[in-house]
Amino acid sequence: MPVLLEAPSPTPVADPADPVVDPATGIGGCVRTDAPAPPSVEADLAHLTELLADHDIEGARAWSQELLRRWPDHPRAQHWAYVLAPTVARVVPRKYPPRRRDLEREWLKQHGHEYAGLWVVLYEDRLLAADPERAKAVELARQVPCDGEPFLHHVGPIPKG
Amino acid sequence: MLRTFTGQASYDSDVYLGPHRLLVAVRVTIGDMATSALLLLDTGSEWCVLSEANAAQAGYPGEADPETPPLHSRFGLIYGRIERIPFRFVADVGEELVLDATCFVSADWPGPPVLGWKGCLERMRFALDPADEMFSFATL
Repeated sequence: MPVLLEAPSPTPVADPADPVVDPATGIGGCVRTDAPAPPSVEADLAHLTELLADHDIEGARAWSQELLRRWPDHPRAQHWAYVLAPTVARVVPRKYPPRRRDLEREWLKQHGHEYAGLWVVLYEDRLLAADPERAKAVELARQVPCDGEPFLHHVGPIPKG
Repeated sequence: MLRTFTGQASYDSDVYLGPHRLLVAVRVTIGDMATSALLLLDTGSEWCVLSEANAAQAGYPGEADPETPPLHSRFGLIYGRIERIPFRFVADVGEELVLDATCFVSADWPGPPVLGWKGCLERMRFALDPADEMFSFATL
């Protein structure tokens, strides 16, 4: 099970309740020497990284929206808000008529051993392309007329015995 | 108790994808690829995981992003980036389903493409019936 590892701690985010001196008038409360740094996009992004490293995905999702609210024009804030937002599944019209994939499975049983280690592109019981390189196999298959969506498969090792 | 599904497809069990043995694999079309392929269905994986080559073929970047914490996997530490990539679940019967899955894309990933929980499986209704090896799915 892949898991995210721990990330460095973020820079503290300023608390708006902290007293500050108005630089124009000199009037204001005492300035704390340990006052947190003012908000920065770097600190906010680092906090997001920490949430992800802690596997707090819901926290990261919420923080990514806050990031976007604070830094609406920053491309990284936009990126994180986009990639972490909960997705919505939707039903879409079929691209091709429905069919079962039994013929392709049967082809692999019968002929797979001849293509061990190769990427193959199949459509029903037809081999459209085979190549050691995935991209090349797909490219070769594109040049073959086909009525439906082909199936790409990396043929495994030859079974022992 | 009755649940309804809008699409159904046979899944492959105990199948090899290159050197990798997939216990349960379903057919998905990634991004704008013209072909469907098998993805390992793994509810224990935090994210969907794709190799850089897989993502590139679907039209997405794969270089590591320094803001993205590395993933600790059975293959060791892997560095990558998080992207949102459309997955279309191919149906043998009924309607197909599309969702924009949150994926960890890595040039270091030597494993099979993985359908993980966050940003993908958590956002769809699905069921596996080992009696006839059918994968059923619908929106939530």
